[in-house]
Amino acid sequence: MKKQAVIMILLCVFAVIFVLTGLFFGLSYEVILIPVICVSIILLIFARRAEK
Amino acid sequence: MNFNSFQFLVFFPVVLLIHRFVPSKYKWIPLLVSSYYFYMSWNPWLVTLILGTTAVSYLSALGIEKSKAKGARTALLTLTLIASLGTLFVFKYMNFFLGTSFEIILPIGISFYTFQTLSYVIDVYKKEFPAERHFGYYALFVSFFPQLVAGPIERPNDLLPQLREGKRASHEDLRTGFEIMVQGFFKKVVISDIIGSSVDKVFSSPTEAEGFSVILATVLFGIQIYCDFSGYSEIALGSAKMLGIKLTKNFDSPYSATSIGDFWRRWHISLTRWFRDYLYIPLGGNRHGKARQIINTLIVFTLSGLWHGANLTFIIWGLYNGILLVIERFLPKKNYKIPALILIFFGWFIFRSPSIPDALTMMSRIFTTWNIPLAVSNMGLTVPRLIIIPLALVALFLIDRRKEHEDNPINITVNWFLILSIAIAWFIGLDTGADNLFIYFQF
Repeated sequence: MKKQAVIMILLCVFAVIFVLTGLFFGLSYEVILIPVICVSIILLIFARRAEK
Repeated sequence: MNFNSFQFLVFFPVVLLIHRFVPSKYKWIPLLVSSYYFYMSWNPWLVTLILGTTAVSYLSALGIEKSKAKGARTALLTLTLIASLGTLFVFKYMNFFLGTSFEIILPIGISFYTFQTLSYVIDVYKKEFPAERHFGYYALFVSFFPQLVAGPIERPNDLLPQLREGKRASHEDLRTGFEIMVQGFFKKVVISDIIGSSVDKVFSSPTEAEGFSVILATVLFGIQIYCDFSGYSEIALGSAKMLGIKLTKNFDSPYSATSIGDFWRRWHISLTRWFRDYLYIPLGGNRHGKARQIINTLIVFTLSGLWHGANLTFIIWGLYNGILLVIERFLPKKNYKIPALILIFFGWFIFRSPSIPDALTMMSRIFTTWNIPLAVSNMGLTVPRLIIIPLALVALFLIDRRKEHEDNPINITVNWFLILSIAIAWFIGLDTGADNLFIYFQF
């Protein structure tokens, strides 16, 4: 559980860095949104599996 | 004040904070003040209308309870019905039915709180619920801000006892309420608002619509209205839960329905229940033979269509659903998932069309050219949007199947990623300058 928590925190930090870097390099909000939704989907699938 | 506005982002935490530190006995006071502030932020003059409706229904319920003679009770109920429905008629339907063109601003949420006050007075009349003596609790029952402008339409025996109790939300309530709110915001900001601009482009110029764009806009509108309204309902449910109040669930995966009847048991549940209990059953329901049942169904669905607004499209949409339901009763009981879904989406096409002539024009446009790249470009569906929409729908599918779950790192991270998506999508909305109001606010 502790290891999982660390991975999740790192993932959140990485996501924020990714969004800010994307904005800095002039990527549109729409382009930045795509990977964020992709990660959300993967996490939703993981969460569902963990509950089963 | 829209739920998806910066104002609400400040307003709600302030209300929550005050609510948590006020003793149970007085919790109704900050809730009532904030509910009136919330409503007045749309237009300060609207307060007179909601206050008038509240006072009339409060006094008449007390009068009904006090009267021993049935005649007096019925007269009071009739007067309340005339006053409430009369107000609704003047503000919402007068121009449509009388052909007048008075400039009347439709008070936001009027259909919702009028129906809620009616259910209270009727329940008191039927002696199913005692009249509320405390005006403050009753005023809060009518104006409770999470469900004031677009429901769920609450019953007095569900909501009033909770308002009296003034329960303090537990940590579990706060956590799950917040999660439900996040899911609602995701549906609204990430899906509904992004899809909405493309749908509007087609329905705002029916004569220029191209064959494929009519079909695509109809499908997208079906998704938009679900995400918009169920998103609103989830924000309402979640925020109420964080305030220690449990509201009625308004949606139950409606597009997974196996028939039209099943769909109406899953879509806008609080309104369907209202029409069933206060109109369909008093009309005789299914107790007086098949013919009467058919007539009752058609009346209820036509009026339910009219409830949505003073436009022929809504009336025909309601009648259309009533007819589908009647036909379905004569069919063998089977799984009609796909045909039901196609018919429901056709209903959305009627519902969204600006007028019946426009709907007919657009239907004729289906048989014109099918230039898919042109349709996609005319609808403003850029490459990133064409990727975002299907991805968001996959996320929606998973979110709708998300049950009450444990508080583990993955679930917390899911919420943070959904919040990040909402924040980014919110900036897309700000960039395009769309007002992104909830669709059901206009009803």
